Amino acid sequence: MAAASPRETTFKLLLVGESNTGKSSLIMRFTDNVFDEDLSATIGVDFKVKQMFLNDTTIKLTIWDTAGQERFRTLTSSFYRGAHGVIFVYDVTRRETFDTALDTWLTEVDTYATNDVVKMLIGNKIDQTEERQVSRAEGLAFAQRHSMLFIECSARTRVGVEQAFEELVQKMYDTPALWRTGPTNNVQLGGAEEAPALDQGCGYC
Amino acid sequence: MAALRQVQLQLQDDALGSREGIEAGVAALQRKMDEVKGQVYETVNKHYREFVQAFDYALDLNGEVAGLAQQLQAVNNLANDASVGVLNKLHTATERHVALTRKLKDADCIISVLERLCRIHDDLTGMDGLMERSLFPQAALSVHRINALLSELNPEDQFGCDAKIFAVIRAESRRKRTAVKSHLETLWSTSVRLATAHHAEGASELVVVLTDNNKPVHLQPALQAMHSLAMLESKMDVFCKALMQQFISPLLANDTPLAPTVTKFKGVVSLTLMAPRDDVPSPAAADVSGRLSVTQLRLILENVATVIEFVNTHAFPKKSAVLAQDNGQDENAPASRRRDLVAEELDAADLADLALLFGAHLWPVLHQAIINELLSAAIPKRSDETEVFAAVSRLAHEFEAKMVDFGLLEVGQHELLVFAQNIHNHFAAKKRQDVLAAARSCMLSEDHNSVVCNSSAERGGAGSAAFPTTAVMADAALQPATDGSERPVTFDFPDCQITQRTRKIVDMAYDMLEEVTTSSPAIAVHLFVAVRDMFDLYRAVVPVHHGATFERVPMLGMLFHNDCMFIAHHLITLGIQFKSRLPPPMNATATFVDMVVPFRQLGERFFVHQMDLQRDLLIEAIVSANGFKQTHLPEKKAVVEKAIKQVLLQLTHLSKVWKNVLPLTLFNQTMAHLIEAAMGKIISDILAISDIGEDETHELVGIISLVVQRAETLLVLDAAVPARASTLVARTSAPKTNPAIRSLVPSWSKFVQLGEILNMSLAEITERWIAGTAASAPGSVNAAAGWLFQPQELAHLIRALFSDTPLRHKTLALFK
Repeated sequence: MAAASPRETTFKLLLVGESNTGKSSLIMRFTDNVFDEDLSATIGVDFKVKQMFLNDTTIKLTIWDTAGQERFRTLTSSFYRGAHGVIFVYDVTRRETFDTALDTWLTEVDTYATNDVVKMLIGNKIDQTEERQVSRAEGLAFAQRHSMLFIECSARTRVGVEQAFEELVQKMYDTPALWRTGPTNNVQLGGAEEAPALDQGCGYC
Repeated sequence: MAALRQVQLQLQDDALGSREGIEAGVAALQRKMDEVKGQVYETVNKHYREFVQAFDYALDLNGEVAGLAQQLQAVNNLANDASVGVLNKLHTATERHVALTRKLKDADCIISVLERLCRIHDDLTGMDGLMERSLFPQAALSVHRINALLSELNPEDQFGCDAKIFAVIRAESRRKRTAVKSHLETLWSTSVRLATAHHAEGASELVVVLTDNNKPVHLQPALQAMHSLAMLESKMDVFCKALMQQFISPLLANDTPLAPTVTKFKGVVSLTLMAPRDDVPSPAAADVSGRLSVTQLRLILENVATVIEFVNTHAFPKKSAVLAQDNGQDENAPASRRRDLVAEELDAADLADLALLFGAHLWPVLHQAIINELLSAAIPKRSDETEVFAAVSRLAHEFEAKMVDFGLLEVGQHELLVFAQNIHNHFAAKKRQDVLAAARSCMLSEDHNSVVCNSSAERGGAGSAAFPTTAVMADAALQPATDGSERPVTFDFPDCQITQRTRKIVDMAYDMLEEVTTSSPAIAVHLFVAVRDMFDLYRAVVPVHHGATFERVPMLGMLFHNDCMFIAHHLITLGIQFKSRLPPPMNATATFVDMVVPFRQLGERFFVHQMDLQRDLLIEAIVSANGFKQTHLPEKKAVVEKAIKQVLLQLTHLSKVWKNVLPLTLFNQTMAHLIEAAMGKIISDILAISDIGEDETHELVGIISLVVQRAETLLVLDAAVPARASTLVARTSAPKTNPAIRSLVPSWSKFVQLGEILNMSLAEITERWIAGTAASAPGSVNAAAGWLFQPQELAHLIRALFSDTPLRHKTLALFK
């Protein structure tokens, strides 16, 4: 039953969140496994590519990084167009990046992105335990309320970074609606329909 | 030779005698022939008979004549014989003469060869003596002489002399020459030594040995000899390099305080380069600004001069000094010694000027090093330090004068002075480079932070202190404001935000121009041009380096627009602000106004691009809803709501990021322009619906009121603006709507009215229409009745909104 021929698909992933929550650092840690303490503010939009393997499928991730600072933001629908997953990042040491900010971001994502886009909430900077202001329970509650995946991680120590991306990719992989509607999806329809059947056990959405 | 001459004379006499005999014979013969002729005639005339006798007689006479002819022949032969003999003798004599001459020449040759051999012999044997007495130049002369003599001797001319002799002589002369050279080399290397001093760590030492074992070392003659043997050039090269490396470069580098000291001990003078004692103030201590001070410069140049003076005194003195010294010695020296010292072949003209030679080797390297290490470093940082320019120039002149004194330089060599006198240009070039480099790095920085630009505090405005109050400006300022409000001053820049980088560039330009006002004219022109270059650089660098970012990020795009306008604003008045204070010729010509237009165009380009981009995005969002029909269906409603949300979200975002960045008036115009685009598109999309159900009407009214409600908050309007003549629309719409919006957004009223029409019943529309037409003259129906829609548009709306009833029919007839 398993498809013998190697398959390839592309997922578009966006990172949003307030400035200085570590979006660029998370991407850097995930794609290049480096951490730069003095990363300058992202201006406009930036993106990176990372290849992953899930079951027998090669997954090319295009990860789009946005400016958290409002003044450096470029608000275009093309940024959200065709996105499969969105990661909301907040800083566990700064409550203001969690409280009202996330609602604003959710509104924006809902306004621009398709309804079935997979959302994930990431609480970053958990290595700074002393300064923590947002508890894990609060984060989890918010995620559940908005049917998001949730994980806490640290781009500095690498804890949880890879799991976050892997979990999100798995979820996107398990959402067949994304496969069909994704404009960059180059998997043939027949193959796409087969995929969830293979991983029936893992799907939990 | 005398004998030969006698023979010749004799022969000549002989020849003379015989010729006289011949002449006598010939005369006699002539006479006889005349007689015979007479007799023949007589006989012929007298008688034939007598003819035979006479004929016989004639025959006899003939015989006699033949005899005479023989005699004549004999005489002739005799004469010929005599001349051939003379010729032969002459020939022999010549041959003998040639042979004798050749012998004589040979003898001469042999004598000259022998003479040369004698002289070579003398030189060869005398050379050791000359060397022992340290008469090196004479020895060198001998070497030259031997060489010259040997080269004159051609092996083919050796006339039996044994060729081996010459081979031996040549070998010997080579040996002597080598010996002389090696002796001189040894003398040079032992008496002039450059080394690292053993008593002080890292210090250099130059040692000149004057006496060796109480015997004076004759360095000068040796050097002269070396020069004449063409050995000095290479030695001097090596020496100069070492001198530069070990003495002069450390002195010029000035990173450690060094001072040359001269010590004399037991016939040895030495020059040591070492750190001065603690009580001597270190020259480096004075260095605060990182630039070489004049004091330091003087000290270093003095130290370098000391080193050169040492070499000059002890190794390479100038010619006049040597001659003076020789003359001084001569007076005391015995006559024999005097002859030795200045041998007859060695006159003053042959003496090489060692100092000049030394100078020729050292100076090209030295003056470059001094310029690069010292004078360049001494170039002042600010143009008003005129005393520094003068001091540097004076020091360079003094140093060169000293070098001329030492004999290293010819009078008229002024490389340092030329550089020092051009120091203004060097300063200006350096300053220009520094400023442009600083400006460029500032332009390239990724720091997009902005600062608030306050019109009242900004230079270049008519109200600012820097602005000269000319008659025209005073008039403008004094004119009372006609409309009661404060009259905006033409030259004021509106309150807005600009980037820090641009603020810094403009500040740099002002600082530079301030400096230009206090500079000498020569520098001022360069610095003034540098300011202009800086603005050109801005226009070339910033849009290229940051262009993509400016186009992508709305706020940065608008900031750049402000930056360009800000620079243009200053460019307009910069010339006027500084002109009167600038040195000539700039006080007449200085201007920046020509750069204003390109800057404005650049700013406008980015502004227009940003506007087009944002408008396209808004339209694209509305288009994505694919029309507003069937909004009563939940799916369609969601799509339309999403589109409207996108429009509002984008407008809100732009309003937020541009609000404090753009000047207020421009901000309102900009936002109004975008709102107008969005409202116009929504109106035309709604008008395009052919059938609007009741549920849809509610949805559309909801959308319209949402847009109106949100759009109002996007502009920053002055609440105090009094309401103008109220219109029907103003009365009917929400009273709190600021009338300024209606003038800024032309479609605003129409948009609001569309919402009202959607809410009206057919009867209400008819009633309003009739009331409108009654109150106004025909032809201006729409305006007077407050209808902003064309009759056709209204008719279309009525058809879409209301089902086909007789009333609708009647109403529609009104709009025909």
